[in-house]
Amino acid sequence: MTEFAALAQLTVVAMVPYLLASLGTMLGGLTGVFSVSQEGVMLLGAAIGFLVSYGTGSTTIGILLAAGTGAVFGAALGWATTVLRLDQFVVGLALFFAATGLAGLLYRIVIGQGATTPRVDTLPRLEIPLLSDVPVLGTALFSHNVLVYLAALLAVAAWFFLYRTRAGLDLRSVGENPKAADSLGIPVVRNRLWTATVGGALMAVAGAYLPLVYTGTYTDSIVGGRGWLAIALTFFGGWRPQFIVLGALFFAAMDVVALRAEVAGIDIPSQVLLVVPYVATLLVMVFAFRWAKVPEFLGRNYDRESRTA
Amino acid sequence: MSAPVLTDTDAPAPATERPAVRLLRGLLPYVLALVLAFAVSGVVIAALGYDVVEAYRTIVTTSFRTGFGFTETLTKWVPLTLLALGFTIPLAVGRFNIGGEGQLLVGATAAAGVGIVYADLPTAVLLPLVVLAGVLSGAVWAGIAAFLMGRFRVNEILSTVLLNFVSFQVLDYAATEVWSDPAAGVAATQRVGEGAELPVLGGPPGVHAGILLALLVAAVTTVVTRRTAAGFELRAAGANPRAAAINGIRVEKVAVVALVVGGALGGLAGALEVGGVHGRAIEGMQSNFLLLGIIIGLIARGSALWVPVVAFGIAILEVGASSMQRTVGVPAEMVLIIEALILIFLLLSDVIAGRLARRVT
Amino acid sequence: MSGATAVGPAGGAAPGRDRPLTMSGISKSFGPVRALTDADLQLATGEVHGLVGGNGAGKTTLMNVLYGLYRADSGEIRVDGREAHIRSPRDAIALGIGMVHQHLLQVSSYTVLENVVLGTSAGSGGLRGAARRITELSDRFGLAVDPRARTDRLSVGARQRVEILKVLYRGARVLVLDEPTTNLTPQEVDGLFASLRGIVAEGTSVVFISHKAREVLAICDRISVMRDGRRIATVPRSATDATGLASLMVGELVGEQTSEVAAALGVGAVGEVPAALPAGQRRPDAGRVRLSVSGVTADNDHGVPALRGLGLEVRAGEVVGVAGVAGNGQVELAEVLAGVRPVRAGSVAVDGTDLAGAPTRRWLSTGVAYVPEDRHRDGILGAGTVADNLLLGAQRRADNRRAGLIDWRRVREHARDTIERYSIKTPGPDALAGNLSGGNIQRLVLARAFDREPAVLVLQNPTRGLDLRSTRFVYDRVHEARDRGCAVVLVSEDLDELSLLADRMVVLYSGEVVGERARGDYDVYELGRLMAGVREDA
Repeated sequence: MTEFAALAQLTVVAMVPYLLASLGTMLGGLTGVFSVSQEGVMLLGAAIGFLVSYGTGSTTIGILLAAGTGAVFGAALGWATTVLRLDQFVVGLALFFAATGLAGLLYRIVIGQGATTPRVDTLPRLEIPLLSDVPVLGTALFSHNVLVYLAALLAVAAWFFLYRTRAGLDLRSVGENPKAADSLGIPVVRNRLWTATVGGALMAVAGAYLPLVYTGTYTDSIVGGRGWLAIALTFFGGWRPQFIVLGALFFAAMDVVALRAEVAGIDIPSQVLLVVPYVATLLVMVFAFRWAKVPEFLGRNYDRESRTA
Repeated sequence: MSAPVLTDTDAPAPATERPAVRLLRGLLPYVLALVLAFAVSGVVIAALGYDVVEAYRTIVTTSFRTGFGFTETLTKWVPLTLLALGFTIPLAVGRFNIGGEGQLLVGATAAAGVGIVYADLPTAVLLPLVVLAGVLSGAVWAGIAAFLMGRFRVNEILSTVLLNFVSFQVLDYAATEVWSDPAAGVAATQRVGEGAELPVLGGPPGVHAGILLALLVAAVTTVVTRRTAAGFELRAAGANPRAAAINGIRVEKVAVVALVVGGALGGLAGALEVGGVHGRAIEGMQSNFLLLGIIIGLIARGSALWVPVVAFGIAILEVGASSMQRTVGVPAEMVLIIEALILIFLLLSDVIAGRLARRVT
Repeated sequence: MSGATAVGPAGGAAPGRDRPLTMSGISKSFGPVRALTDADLQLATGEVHGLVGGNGAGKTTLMNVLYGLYRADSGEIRVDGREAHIRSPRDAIALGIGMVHQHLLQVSSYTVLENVVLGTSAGSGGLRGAARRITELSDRFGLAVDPRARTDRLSVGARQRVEILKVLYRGARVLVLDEPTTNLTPQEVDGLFASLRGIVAEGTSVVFISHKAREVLAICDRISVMRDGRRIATVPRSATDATGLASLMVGELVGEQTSEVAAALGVGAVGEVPAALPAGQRRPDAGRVRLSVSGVTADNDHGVPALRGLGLEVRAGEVVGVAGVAGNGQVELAEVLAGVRPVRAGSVAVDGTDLAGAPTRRWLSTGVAYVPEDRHRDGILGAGTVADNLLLGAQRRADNRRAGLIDWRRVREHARDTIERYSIKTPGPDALAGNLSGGNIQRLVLARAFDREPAVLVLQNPTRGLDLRSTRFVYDRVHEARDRGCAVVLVSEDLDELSLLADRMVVLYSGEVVGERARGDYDVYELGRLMAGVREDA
C-alpha cells in the first residue's frame, strides 16, 4: 500500500510539466493560435528558471522570470500570426529554434563551457495540514511542492472559465469561427494575443519545473520530448482541461513505470521501457484523432477584410 | 494546414520585368534578413563583452582559410542538404517532416549494422548495400508516420517527432547491446568493415564521395519537381489539395509517398555519415542537423534548387561557430540564434515587401 | 448597449429621428480594385429599404463598411443625425446597427442560445433570462426556433432566423439583411417577409440587399440601385416595376438580350417559365442515356448519410436541373457524379461503364467534367499559373509530355490559345491564377472542363457571384455542351437559372429525388413545396 502511495505521488509530481504545457497549448489553441514551439520554450524556461534560481537563490524569482520569458515568446507568436498574419507553423518553428538556441547560449554564458554542472535546491514539499495525514491519498495528493497545487487549481479554473462562463463562451468562439465572433464585437486579435501570451508563459513554467523540482540541474536534453508530447496530449484531450488532466496523468504514469521498472531491475532492455511513452502516444493518437474535437479555426489566421474567407 | 511557404513556381518573369530585376527583387529580402540578423546578434555579442568583428570574421572565414575548414564545410553540407530536402519534399504537399533526425539515426544504425555484419565483403558489394540499408530504413521509419497519417489521419508533425525519440533508443540498443564497442569511449557501435567506407575525393584531408550522391539527389529533386508529372502533382496537391483531388490527383497518396521519400533521404544522410565520416554509428551523431535542415528548407522557401545553396551558407556558419567558440569565446549556440533570426527576419521582410507592393499598385 | 428594449418605440421627437442612417461619399478600394466610389445611402425610420444591383455593384461592401467590417478610405456616416465613427462591429452594434450576413456567421457547435448571447456578456443577467427574451422575440416576430437546439442541427431557414434574432436581441434599430433569400424555399421567403413587416412596424429600419428584383418589389418600400460602386438611383416601390429596375441595374446592357438578362436577375420568372423552346432546337429524349445513376447512397463530410438511394438518368444532349434547398445533398450529389466522393452503395455509369468506386482519375478519363461551386476553393491552384491550372488533370496525357517530362513549351502554347478562345482576361499563361477575377476563374475552369471533351458535364451553381457578361458566357457554354451531345447535370439553388437552362428538373430533398418535372410543367410554389419536403403523394 505504501509502495502504491509512493508511485501515485511520483505520478502526480511527474504530471505537472505535461499539464502546464498542455494547458498553455490549449489556451492559445482555443482562440485559434496553434503553437509548435513548446519544446523550445520549455527548454528556455528550464534554462532561465535554473539560472535565475542559481544566481539569486530564489526558486520563485526563477519561475517568475521563466514565465515572463515564455510570455514574450507567446506574445511574439500571437503578434506575428495576428497582426502580421504569418504562417503559424513556420513562426512556431522559428521561435522553437530561437528559444532552443537562447537556452543553450544563456547557460554557457552564465555557467561557462566547463564540465562541472552546478545544482540548485529543488522546491520543498508543502504538506497540507490534516489532509496529508490521510493514508495513501494524503501521500499521493496532499504532500507536494506548491506548483503541483497551482497546476491543479489552474486546470479547474481554466475549465470553469472556458466552459462555464459567458466570457469563456465568447473566447472559444474566436477559435471556432473568428468571423462570427468579430461580427458580434468580440475582439479576435486581442483574445488571440493574450491567450498566446499566457500559453507561452505556462509552457515556460512547465519547463522551469523540470530543473527546479525534478533534477536540480540543467542539461540541453532536459525536456526530452515533453513539449511535443504536450501537443499530442492537447489533441487527444479534446482541448478540454478535464481530459487533459487525465492524459497528463497517463503520460506521467508512463514515465514513472519506465523509471521504476529500470530501478527494480526487471529483465527488459531499458530502451524498450524508455520508448513506451512515445509508442503509447502514437497508438493513442490513432484512436484519439477520430473522436477528439478540435477548434474549427485552429492554426488558421483571420483577416477581417479578406474577401475569400 | 496549408502549405506555409510559397510554392516553388517555375514561371518565368512576366514580360514586363527583366529576369535580372526579378532576381534582384527576390534576393532583396534575403540580404535584408542577413544584415538584420547579424546586426542584432552583433549587439548581443558586443553586450556580452566579446569582440564582434573578430567573432564574425572567424565565422565567415574559417571555411575558406584552410583546406581543412573547407573540407569540414563540405562534409557538413551533405547531411544538411539531404535533411533539408527530406523536409521540403513533404512540405510541398503541405506536410511537415520533423523526423529527419530519427530517420538519419535509424538509417545510420541500419547502415552500420550491415557494414559490421558483412564487414568482409568487398567495397563494390558492401558499399551499395550499406547505402541501400540506410535509404530503406529511413524510408520505413518515415513510412510508419506516413502510414498513420494516410490510414488514421494521425498528425505527421507529432508522429515524426515522436519517432525521433524512439530512434534514440534504437541506436542506443544497437550501440550498447548488439554491436557495442566499449573501447570507443562514447556510446557507439563497432567500426564498419573497410568495404563500407566511402572513398575520399581530393585531399588530404578530402571529402567523402557521398557529396556526389547528395549533389545528384538535389539535381534529381529539382528536375522531378519542376519537369515531371509526379512533381506537378506534388506541387498541385500542396497548392490546393481540394482542387487537385477534383482533378484526379490522389492527394493523400502523394503526401504519403512524399513523406516516405523524405525519410529515405534522411536515411541516406545517416548511411553517408557512417560510411564517410564516423565509420560507425555514434549516439549524438545527429548533432542539430534536424533543426538546421528545417531552417534551410524554410529559408529556401521549399525550393529544391535553392536548398543546396542555403545549406552551403548554413554549413559555413556552423563550421565557423565552433571555431569562434574556440578562439573568441562566444558560445557556438550564438549561431543557432543568428540562423533563427535570419528566418524570422526573412518572414518579416515578406510582410514588408507585401505591404510595399500593395502601396505601389 | 442597453438590453432593456429590443426594438425602439416608433414615437419620439429626437433630432434626426426621421433619419436613422445617412451614409455619404463612401469610397473603398481593395488593392487595385475600386469597390465603392463616392457611394451614399439614406434610410427612413420604419421602412424596408431595398439595395439592389448586379454582382460586384458594391452592395455588400457598402454594408460591410457600415457594420465596421471594412474600413472606408473616405466618407461619412451619420446615425440619428450625429456623425458616427465605426471602426469595428462593436461600434456598429453600440450604435444600434445589426447585420445578417450572406454566409451565416455562427459557431456551429454552439446552441442557438449561446450563439445569440455571444459577445453580450458585459452587464448581462443569466442565460435563463436570455432564453426567455429570445422566446419572447421569436414569438413577437414569428421567428420560430428552439433556443436549446444545437445550431448545426438546424435547417438553413432556421439558422437564418437565429441570425435575425441575434440582431434583434442586441436592440438594433437598423437591420441589414444581405441576400437573405438565397437558400430559402419560396414558402420560407414568405415567412421571412411577414417577420420583416412586423419588425419595421415597431420602428426599426431594414436594409434588404438582393439582386433579385422580384423579391425587392415584394417587400421594399423604397429601393436604391447600385452600379459600379455607387448609388445611381433611389425610387419608391410605387414608382417602379421589374423592367424599370432591371434597366437601372444593368444600364446599357438591356435591349439586346433582355430575356436572358432579366432571367439572370430573377425578374422574368415571376411564375412564368418559358414553356416551349424555339422551334428547330434539339429534342432531348432522342439521345441515348449517357449518365445512369441508381441506388446511390453516400455520406457527407461528417459521415452522416447525405444521399439515400438516389437514381437519375441523363441523355445525350439533355440538361437536367437539380433543384433544392442548400444542404439537401446537392454538394454530395455533384461530388459523387464527379467521382470525388465515394459512394456507399449503388452505381454511377457513364456510357455504360460503372465507375462507382473507381479513382477520380478514371472518371476524368471516361469523360466526366466537373465545374465545382466554390471555384476559389475547389477550382483552381491560386498560387499556380494559368498554364498550371489548364494543365491540371491532364499532366499525364501523352500530348503534354515529351521524353517523360512535361512539355512546358507546348503547355504554354496551348494555354495561350485557350486564353484567346475563352477570352480570359490575364497578362498571359504565366500570370498567377489567384489574381484573376471570379468570372475569369470560371472561364478557366470551364476551359479545362471542355478541354476534356466531356461525355458528362456536372455544374454546381456555376454563375454564383458572376456578373452578367460572365453569366451569359457560362450559359452559352452549357448550350454548346448540350448541342455537342453531352449529358449535362446542372445543380443550382437558383430556380430562375434552372428554369432557363434545364430541359427537365428533379427536386432533391434530404438526399432523395422527391419530384421530377418537365420543362414548363410547374410553378415555383409547387417546386417550393417539393423543396420543403412535401411529398407528391401526401
